[in-house]
Amino acid sequence: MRRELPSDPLLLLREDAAPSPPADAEARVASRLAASLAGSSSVAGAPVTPKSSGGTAKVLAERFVRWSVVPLGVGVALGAGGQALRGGGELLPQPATPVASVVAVVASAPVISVEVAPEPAASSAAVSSAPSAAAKNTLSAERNVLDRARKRLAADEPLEALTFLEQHSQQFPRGQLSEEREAMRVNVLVLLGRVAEAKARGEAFVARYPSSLMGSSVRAALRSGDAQK
Amino acid sequence: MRVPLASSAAPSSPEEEQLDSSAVFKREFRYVWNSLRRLGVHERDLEDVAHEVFVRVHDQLPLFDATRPLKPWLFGLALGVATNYRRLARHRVDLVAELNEVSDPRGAADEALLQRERAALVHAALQSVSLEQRAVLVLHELDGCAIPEVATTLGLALNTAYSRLRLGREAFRTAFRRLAQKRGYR
Repeated sequence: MRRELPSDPLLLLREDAAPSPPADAEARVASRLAASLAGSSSVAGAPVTPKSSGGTAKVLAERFVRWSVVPLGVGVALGAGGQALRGGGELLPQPATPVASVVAVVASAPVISVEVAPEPAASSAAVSSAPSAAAKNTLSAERNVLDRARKRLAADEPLEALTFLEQHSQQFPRGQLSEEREAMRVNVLVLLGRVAEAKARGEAFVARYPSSLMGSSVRAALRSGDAQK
Repeated sequence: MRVPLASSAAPSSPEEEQLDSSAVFKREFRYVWNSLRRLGVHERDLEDVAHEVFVRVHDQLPLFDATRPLKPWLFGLALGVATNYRRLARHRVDLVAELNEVSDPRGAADEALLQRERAALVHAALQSVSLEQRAVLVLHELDGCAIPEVATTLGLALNTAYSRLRLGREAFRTAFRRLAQKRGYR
């Protein structure tokens, strides 16, 4: 079967219709942005306002309002889903080193054990009726430390990034952004060539946050790494 | 932070002309998404990379020159993030494999399938153009940016921008014809 095409392919390029993103992709990115920017001074600039009409917009608005309170640490018990979403916003410190790909790189390394401080389960989150100012301040402090780590990572300075991550571990061993910290740590360790530790950390991440938004991509990368053995 | 959306959208009411990063996200998410896709970000990573772009939008919007159109500025941010992303060899797209996933040309009987395959051919050919040429090609041919604006956006000398456009067009044509021939077109 042979078919005709325009004499100049550029005509087809110019007609190229940009496909719509998958359903709910915008809502998912919006919720992650809300989590990422929750500790910044201008969080009001996060994409919080829903579209004026349409079912998807309503879902987006509802999700944003519900999800955005999680990183603010207001003590609303949201269950495992909320816990996963909280960390999803910053699991990609820089695009050059997304967690999934990093784990794929280190998946063939020998497994070593890593001691990880126990974290409270998502379902055990305290329930309170009003936001705590102290919790907000703590979250902001956590965010500042991780922002510094992320910026160092983006500047190809993984050792400096690790310093900030260690600082976060010491200051906030059970911090609200521990999930985010551990994901970033995997990236940093790989960049530093500490692949065995990175692999162990990656596996610990998957085990500890089984419902994390980044968990599926991390597990997929681990499976991909296993397949290459 | 509030900036006018400038020429990135049709004229709107006064209250809509001043937008913050939230409004930029709502209005331009699809544009950023497709720009990243055209710049070679794999479908599976688009949400992650788009997220990173909008984090930068949030951080850098105060630095945006509001007298300039918004979309090219967003494209510049997307290009920076996509460039970092593509530095990793494992992020390079397997064009042949992706194209084969779209359709089987021997079974491409209906018009919708043919259109999808043509779109896939265009996308695959675009991916084979070098990123620096592709950025000029996409901004000019798809986004309708005049070359002087393209040059400003990408920080290029005007002659360089024109040269990359010419080379990019030719690279696209060559790649498209090669891919189309393999798919049974003439």
